[in-house]
Amino acid sequence: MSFAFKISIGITYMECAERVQIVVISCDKRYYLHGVCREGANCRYNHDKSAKPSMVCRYYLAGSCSYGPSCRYDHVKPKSSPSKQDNHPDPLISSKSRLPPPLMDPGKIRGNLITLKKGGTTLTSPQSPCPRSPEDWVKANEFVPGQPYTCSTIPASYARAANLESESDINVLPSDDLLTLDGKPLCPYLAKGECPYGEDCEYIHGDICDLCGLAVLSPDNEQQREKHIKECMEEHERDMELSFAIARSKDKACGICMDTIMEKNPPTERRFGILSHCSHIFCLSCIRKWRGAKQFENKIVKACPECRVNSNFVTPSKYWVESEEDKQKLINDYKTALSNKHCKYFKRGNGECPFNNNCFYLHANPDGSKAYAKPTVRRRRQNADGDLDFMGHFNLWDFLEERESERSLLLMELEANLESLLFDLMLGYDSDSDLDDF
Amino acid sequence: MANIAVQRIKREFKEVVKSDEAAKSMIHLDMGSSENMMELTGTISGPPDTPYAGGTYILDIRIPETYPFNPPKVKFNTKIWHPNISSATGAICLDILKDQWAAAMTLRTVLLSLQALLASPEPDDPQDAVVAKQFKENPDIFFQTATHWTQAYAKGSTPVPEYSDKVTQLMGMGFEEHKARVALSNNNWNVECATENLLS
Repeated sequence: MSFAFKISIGITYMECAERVQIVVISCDKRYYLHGVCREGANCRYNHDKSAKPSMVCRYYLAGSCSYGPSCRYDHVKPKSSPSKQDNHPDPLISSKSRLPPPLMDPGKIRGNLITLKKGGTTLTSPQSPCPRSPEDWVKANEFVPGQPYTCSTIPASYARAANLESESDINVLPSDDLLTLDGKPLCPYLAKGECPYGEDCEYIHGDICDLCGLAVLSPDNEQQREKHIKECMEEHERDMELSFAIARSKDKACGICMDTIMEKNPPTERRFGILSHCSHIFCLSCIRKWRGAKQFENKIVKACPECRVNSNFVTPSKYWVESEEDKQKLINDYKTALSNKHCKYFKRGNGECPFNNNCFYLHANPDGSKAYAKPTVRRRRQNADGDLDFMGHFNLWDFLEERESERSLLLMELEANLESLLFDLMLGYDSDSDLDDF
Repeated sequence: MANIAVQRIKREFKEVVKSDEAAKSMIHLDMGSSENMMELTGTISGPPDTPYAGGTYILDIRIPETYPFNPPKVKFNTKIWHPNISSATGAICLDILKDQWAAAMTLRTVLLSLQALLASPEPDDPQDAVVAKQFKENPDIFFQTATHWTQAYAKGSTPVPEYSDKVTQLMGMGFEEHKARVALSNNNWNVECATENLLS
């Protein structure tokens, strides 16, 4: 029993250490809710069950939080001026977090955002920062005079608007770029949106970039300005390309399930399966299922269900590709990606892959070197009837290639081989024992 | 899985209803009595310039659980005289309903394919050997028989008085109408052979 008690104290202490950056957090529910917090009223954590941890939403600070008002984190901009001694405040983990957590009267701090000055005294913001209950909605930033309007629910770009689930990394800037000519950092608050300190800010306020709308251009560092504008242009181009891709994929329906692919649920199903030799639209799961169907001949299922043109493989894609150029790029990217994965048949040299050198996956030996299959040696022999037999391995790929081109000699060879094999079998000819002679 | 099937059938139903062919009342699809949409009734009209012209053919369509990865099971409910359709059971011999099915095919394309099958029989790949033989050896009798069946079973409007008389003749001998017609059709409308056939 006493052992368990020690452990629980240890955990509490560790959690205190970990969560030092959070100014007000609820007392660990396990202790308080079970009525066993030994600190009682002196606990530095909040004993109010209804109060949410006051953590500022970092997405809100960055300009857009897709959860909007229902976000579980606080949507509030830092308001009071920080102390001038702070040297590198990161807007995401504010300077106050580095301070030791002060002892606070839990009654006073309930529900309000507490901002600390250096030295541990507390400042309580005058109004409830994040209106959570309907009667507090009127206090939302949008309705408070003097507050800039930032609508957190409107996505930043068309690409985001069309595809909220996409993990687009728009507007993510490396912070080490925000330097002036003599190495001083630009104001990171302003770079993320707005600076609550205004004129009093100890950092240099950068110029606003026309493209991204953020104050990230150093007033005197020409190189940084150029670099940022270039990055911004590229970002913008990528964003445009993405929005075009989304626009052309948006109303495409799968020829098998007939669903609009971009509206399928769950979102993981929203993938196109691109066939290499025709341009009919299918979702990845449907076309894979069709191609894996066992009830029909291979020739039927490996053909496009719409036009019956044969394609040897399906390329997964998040968006529909219209032009041949884009399609080739996609297929090449796919092949490149696959060539970095180990082939599950080759098993790093321990297995045998029917596709041999033409396998899309990586054939590498355990030491990392690339494995090249030896050219298959086909042995010939004269059988009992004086006909020529071919023995040895045949590569699956040879047949796939064969199927693409016209009927070639290989198939004739195979047929001849099969026929003679069958003939051997019919005669009860034991070909196995014969093999040893070679 | 059944979910995909149901979703697709609902869509295909709308597709058929909205299609141009439906507007020209060439094909029609009915939901039937079952609630799960797995059993449907299709209707196709006999293509013009064929013995089936003017006829209305009702088809039973059963959708498998694995639809659209497996073809729907379709058979003729209306009796028809056609080399690729069994005159007794209505079973259809059509490649796309068997091994040549493709997942992108829909009920609309199936109905249109069946209509095309009526217009161009394939006697070399028969479902009903007797009909196929007649089609190859006595094309005129086949044409008349098919026309007669259309009139008798598919509400066709082109009568074949000679054949109708023969059927009535056998009915006068106490045979049931359909049996009499089948026997006559199978025996190239030779009344004696048909009677022998019926009595054996």
